[in-house]
Amino acid sequence: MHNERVLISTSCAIDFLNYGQRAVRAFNQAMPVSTEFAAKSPAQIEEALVGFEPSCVAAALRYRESGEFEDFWTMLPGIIAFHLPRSAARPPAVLEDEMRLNEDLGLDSLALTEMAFLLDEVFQLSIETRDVVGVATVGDLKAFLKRKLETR
Amino acid sequence: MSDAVVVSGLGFVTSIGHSRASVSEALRALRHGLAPWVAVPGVEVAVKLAGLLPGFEVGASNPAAWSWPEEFQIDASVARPMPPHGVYVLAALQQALGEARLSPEILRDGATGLYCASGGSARTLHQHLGKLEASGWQRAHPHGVISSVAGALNFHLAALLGIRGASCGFVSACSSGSHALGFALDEIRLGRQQRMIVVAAEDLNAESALPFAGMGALSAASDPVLASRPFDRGRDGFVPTGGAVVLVLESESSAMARGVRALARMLGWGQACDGHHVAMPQPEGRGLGDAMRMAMGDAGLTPVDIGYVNAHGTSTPAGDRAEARALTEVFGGHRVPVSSTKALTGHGLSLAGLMEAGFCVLALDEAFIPGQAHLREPDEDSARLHLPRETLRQQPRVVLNNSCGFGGSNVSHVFSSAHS
Repeated sequence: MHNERVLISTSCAIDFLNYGQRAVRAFNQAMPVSTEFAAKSPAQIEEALVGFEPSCVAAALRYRESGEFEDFWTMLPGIIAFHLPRSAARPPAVLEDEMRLNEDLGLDSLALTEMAFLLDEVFQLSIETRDVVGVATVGDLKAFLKRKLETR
Repeated sequence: MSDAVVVSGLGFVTSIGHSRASVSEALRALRHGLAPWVAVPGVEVAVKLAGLLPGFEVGASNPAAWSWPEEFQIDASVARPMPPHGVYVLAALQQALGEARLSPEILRDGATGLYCASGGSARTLHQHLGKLEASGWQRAHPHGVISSVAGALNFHLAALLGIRGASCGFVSACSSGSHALGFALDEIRLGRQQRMIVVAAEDLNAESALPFAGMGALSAASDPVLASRPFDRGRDGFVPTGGAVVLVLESESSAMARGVRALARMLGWGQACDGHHVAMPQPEGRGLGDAMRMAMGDAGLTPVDIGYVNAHGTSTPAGDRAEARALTEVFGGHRVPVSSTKALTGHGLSLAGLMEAGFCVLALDEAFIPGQAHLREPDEDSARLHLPRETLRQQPRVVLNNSCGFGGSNVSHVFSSAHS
């Protein structure tokens, strides 16, 4: 089951990389920001993301306006940084798809479930803890989030 | 083992100070840490005062919004999955490990153990369960368990410090911290560990304190000087507090190998239960008397050897009466100075016994005997005790520390000066 999920995720990641910018924009137009997130004021978003890097909060505010996956994705280094078990280990500024969430970035399984919970709570992505089993790399995560945005 | 067991490090986050120096100064001056407290913003409740922890802001439901005094280097990512009192612990730990000069390598050597005492965080549990129920029991936060249950401290700290020796939590209500320290002494004397990190902590919030109002255990007073007054005829209950204390206990040879000074020796401990009532003490303090005798016996001492007793003395009518009777029965004609420092700090529940053990170590190391603050008129049982109203500038040689908890649990420790 675990391998199957990884295969599905990897396949989604490859699909996503082939989309290109136009496809991303088309996708974003089809999948607007959740009503609940859009209804939040900038102050409420800042409160929900207290402790996150300023660049991450700024991207969240942009995403609220644009609904673009690019803005959503720009938040991710900050979201990962927040959820690392130790602040001392900073993730790289640019995330490459082949980076492993645990081994390369230090995001253990508990941190991953916490991150999933936050994404569900703040952005209404309807993520259940078992959904993130098999999300092992940045590419997996990107594909996973895309899938969640599509099916929300 | 013939090796003595010594205290080599202390850390305090208490209502009377967040450092050894400030705590010591407050004990000498009998300066209390009680202040007006808003337990629930916008709601009038029966409890007006608490032993506050200034500079620590851990009331927000989102731990990312917590803050602490800047002198403490606390990693927000480490604190976030912890209960609110975990922040106090991280600050106290920094002090104690620094004083004992324990490196990360030593902590991971397998000869170092960790015993913790905490009632868990009722607040965090309340918040997580409230959200879980509101979600139709569908969405449980991944930190719901590890940020709230009574073992949370040992879970987090064992991982953080890389402990490979003993690790355990103690839950015996207001004697929990004392149990942790007593069993830590045994671990070292049995040769199982060279040193033990002993931790006790509690939240201070509506969830930690207000349930005690339902038992009539809390003082309704609004004057800090009249609220927590152990052994006084007018006492009407305890004043709540939170915080954390960390104490490093180790074999003398282990401390000497690092060139670390012993602050005091721990000579023995004892515990005995009342076998009487779930929440009330046995009226004559029977179990506490037995615990004191056992502790002194364990230390090879008798009542005349004791130079100071730090009483449990929470300022509840029934508790102080039973303790006064137990002290009178055990010490007879020996006029030993007795005080309850809860007059200054408030009552820290699981934290209390270890906090007061830390105060005993300060008294031994710095040559003073804390006086009984806020005492105006002892009741007839307390009047038989020697309750000095001011702190005495004298070196106690041996001190005894009492703790009592629900279920009639009683623990006593005996410490001696490391100077003798």
